[in-house]
Amino acid sequence: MITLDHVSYQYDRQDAALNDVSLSIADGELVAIVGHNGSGKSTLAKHLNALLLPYAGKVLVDGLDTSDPENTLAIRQKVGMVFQNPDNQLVTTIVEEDVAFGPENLGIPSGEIRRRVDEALAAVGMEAFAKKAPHMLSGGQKQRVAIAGMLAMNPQVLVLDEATAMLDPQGRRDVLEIVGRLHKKGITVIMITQHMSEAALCDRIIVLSGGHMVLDGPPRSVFAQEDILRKAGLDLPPVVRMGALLNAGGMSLPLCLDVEELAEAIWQYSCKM
Amino acid sequence: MFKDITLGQYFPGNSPIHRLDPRTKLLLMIAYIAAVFLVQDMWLFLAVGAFAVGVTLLARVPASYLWRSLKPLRLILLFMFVLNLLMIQTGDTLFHWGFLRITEGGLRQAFYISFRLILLVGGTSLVTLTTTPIALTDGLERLLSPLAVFRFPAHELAMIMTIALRFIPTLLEEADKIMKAQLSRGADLESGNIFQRAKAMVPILVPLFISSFRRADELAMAMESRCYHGSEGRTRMHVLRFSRRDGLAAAVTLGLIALILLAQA
Repeated sequence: MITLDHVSYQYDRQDAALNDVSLSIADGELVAIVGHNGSGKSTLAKHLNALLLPYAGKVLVDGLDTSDPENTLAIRQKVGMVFQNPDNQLVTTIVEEDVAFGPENLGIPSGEIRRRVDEALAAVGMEAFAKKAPHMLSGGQKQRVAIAGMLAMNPQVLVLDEATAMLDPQGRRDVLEIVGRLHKKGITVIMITQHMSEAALCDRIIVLSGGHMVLDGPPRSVFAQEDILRKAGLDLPPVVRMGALLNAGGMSLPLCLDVEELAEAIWQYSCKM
Repeated sequence: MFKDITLGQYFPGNSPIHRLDPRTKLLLMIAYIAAVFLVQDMWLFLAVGAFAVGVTLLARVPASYLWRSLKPLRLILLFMFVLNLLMIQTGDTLFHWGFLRITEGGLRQAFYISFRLILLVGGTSLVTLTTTPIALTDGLERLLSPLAVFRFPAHELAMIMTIALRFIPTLLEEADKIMKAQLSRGADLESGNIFQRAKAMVPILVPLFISSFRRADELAMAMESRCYHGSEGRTRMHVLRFSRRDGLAAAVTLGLIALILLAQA
């Protein structure tokens, strides 16, 4: 359980990057945080594992206050974070050594690390690459290794800070598929993203704009607020947009999140005609 | 272009030499280097050489790999040989022509110095050929860790080496990309004298530097996210343990070196 209580943050001599944001994310949720460049979404992500500390307000992770240095390690163990650039988050020259990096920092005995590393690599389907060098892997594979590195720390929450932004379509599909599987296993997943179609896969979408939270709700209700989204510099996902355009052209379709749903709705509609 | 770069010169294998603890290899390498410097006799050089060849055979490292590490030595070797041959003037004169005078002492010294260089580079290459870079840094960290008492940053040094090894291929790849980008905008990297060419490197080095700083910043954040907080309370997945094999290797190597030095005395 993560709670943000009236959190504000400001980088040096700039406008507030986060402005009085309050929200809470329950265990097991699948949440997308979306926003345009400079909306404060990455700043928000970095508050979730104490990389940044709030300028005003409070962030609580499992009841632990991030501003207390005593809690930092415990919070970072609970909240795993995967970043955007796959090249800049792998530390060592061998895949399995890299996955072991987190547990090693936590002081876990070597036999237990071995077990966790094997498990984590299997969970992301990278066990065949255990002895390979990271620079030999594709972007998507590196990102899977980064996720394994987090899993080996046994986190409760996984934050993906635009983790798919630099990947090719195949890499993105693989990563999203793994994230979906981890969520089913009970891990809370928070995806920071600009891709509205990725956000559509989540149970809840939080929209940030200029450091403020402007929308928070399930995809259907968020996508219904097209004006607010547009003001925040965001587009509807293609399928939702298509539905909206059809409605503008005289049809009356419910809001659909994926292609099959839309096709079904159009079918139903034309049957009624 | 840089995808298949091999770091260091590790030759993958599973020989008894490969399986030795990196600390054993590093320490025995130091003993070996000392022996190479102390030996002053043709026959004993051959003995040390025979030992090096024996280890090579045991490690099943192909001679071509060893040759590759010795190849860059050719010029220095030639230079050192000629220099010693002409400069050292002891013992009987073997050859005299104008101002050139070659003596027995000079000839001997020239051969000694050549053998020494070959044995030195060949022997140390054997260590890097049979040990992965990560095992080497690991071994170095453990060997130096007692110095932590004197505030010697053994863990930090090892971490720096690991990160450097990790990022060399990444940065090479990036340099390649930037170079192509600048070439496609008409940058001329190949013509001109050495100063003009050095100047032409500026548009490649500046972006490379800037992006390295950005990388460093992001990597630091990723490391912090993974609870990195220095060596304090840190455990390792692979724990180095000396085995019977290490004891045997140490006994054989040190025994041989002792015999060789005794024979000399």
